[in-house]
Amino acid sequence: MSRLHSFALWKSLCLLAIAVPAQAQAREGVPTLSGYMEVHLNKEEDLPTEADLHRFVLMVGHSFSDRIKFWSEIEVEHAFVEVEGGEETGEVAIEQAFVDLMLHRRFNLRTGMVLVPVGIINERHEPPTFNGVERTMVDTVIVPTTWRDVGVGAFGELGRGFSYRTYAVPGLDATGFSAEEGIAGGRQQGGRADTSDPAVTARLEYRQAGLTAGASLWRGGAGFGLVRLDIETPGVTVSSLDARYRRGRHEVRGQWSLVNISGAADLNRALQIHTGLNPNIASRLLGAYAELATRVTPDSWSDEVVVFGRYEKFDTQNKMPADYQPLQQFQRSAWVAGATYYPDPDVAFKFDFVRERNESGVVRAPWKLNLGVGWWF
Amino acid sequence: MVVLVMRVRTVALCVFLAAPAGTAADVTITRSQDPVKVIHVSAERFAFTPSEITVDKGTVIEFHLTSEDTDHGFRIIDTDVNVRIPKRRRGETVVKYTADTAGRFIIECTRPCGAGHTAMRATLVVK
Repeated sequence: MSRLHSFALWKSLCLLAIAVPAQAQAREGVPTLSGYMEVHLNKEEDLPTEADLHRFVLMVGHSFSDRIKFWSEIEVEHAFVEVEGGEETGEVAIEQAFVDLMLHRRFNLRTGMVLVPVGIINERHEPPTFNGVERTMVDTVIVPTTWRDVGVGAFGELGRGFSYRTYAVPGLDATGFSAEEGIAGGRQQGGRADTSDPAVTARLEYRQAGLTAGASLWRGGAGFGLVRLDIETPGVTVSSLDARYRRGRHEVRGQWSLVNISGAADLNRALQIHTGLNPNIASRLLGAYAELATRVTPDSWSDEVVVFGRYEKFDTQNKMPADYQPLQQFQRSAWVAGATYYPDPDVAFKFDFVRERNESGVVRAPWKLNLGVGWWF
Repeated sequence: MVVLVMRVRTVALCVFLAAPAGTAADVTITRSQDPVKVIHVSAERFAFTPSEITVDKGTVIEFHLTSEDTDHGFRIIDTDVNVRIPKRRRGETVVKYTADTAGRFIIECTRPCGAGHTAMRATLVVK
């Protein structure tokens, strides 16, 4: 998209912002506007410091009636979109656009562009809701947030603190998989998505007095892009467990996510014949993190400072198919430490330091220093 | 009948991140001699806790509403209860409601709060 088109998009977003009452108490027939933004300053070892309007997101909702609701999210990443050397510098995307039909506490229908209900961050990624300037690496290269697609499904409350969401969505495109970023490049993201290899995804969640725990699954095919390569359709299963627990001023959260890719050996051979390069796609990717956070400001202060520490393992070469060796620079882990200052619960000034490591004796993992501010309105 | 009181309780605000009293997943209140039944409801993206509240017909409920994150709405559909819940550690909203009609009433969040906003609901059961 050219700068001219980017300007037109920004103009449209501004007009939308003027037209829709900001954070209005939803009234029937009146659309609502909300959104979030993130501005980052990132320094990575041996690279120049970058200042980045990482995300500018507007959300528009509408209540047709008490039974029919609409919700949407449009996002501009990295301020504008321009093609440089064949690569896009940013992204404009619809991340959500769905209609809910509220039928019963236990069973409601949803269709449109939906968020895949896997992990903590994919469905709950407003900047004040998580520590760290950037999303966790587990939620970047193992669970590829923001993961969304056009789908149809159901959701509801089951009682005793349990709830669920389940959707049928198009599968992944295995030609976009890679050794470094796993299945992220295979997301179709709702744009003329090929439905030849459908998938199902579901999440069961439990909430009780400070505890939120979830189990998520995505399972489907990924072979529609390989029909001329005469191999068995690769299948992908993403399994994830997560929990958050708050007590007093403390919070602990963690997530464990596993990606299994069946037929990875055939997939690597076929893509190598097709492109001339071995993509070295693993048959298993593993990610996990644990984070401790505590508010250090006195109870009498309305402003809050939260400090946190996190350990992450994000290994996109965890298990290789027969005859393939892992690229050890992608068997990674990281320690992250930082702080978040909340002058308001919806405004978060963030700082963190990331010490990344990998299993390679040749490729050194860089350290990173991040500053950022994110807000929700 | 609804009575709304906004309170900012400096001392009570110390419960940041603490589990509010009585936050079982479902709560059942039986009518007794007490004139008012106090029910604490905590709101957080994208759920109310408790998510189901059961009372006897005629019970006067005093909802004490707090948030664990941003501000939320608290509307009991088909009643005149429709209030705002202030942000985390910014006080609580107290609203009284006389449950004089039997049935199942849906409680919904009316302030946009994120991806799961449309599904942020709870149920009030009046027997």
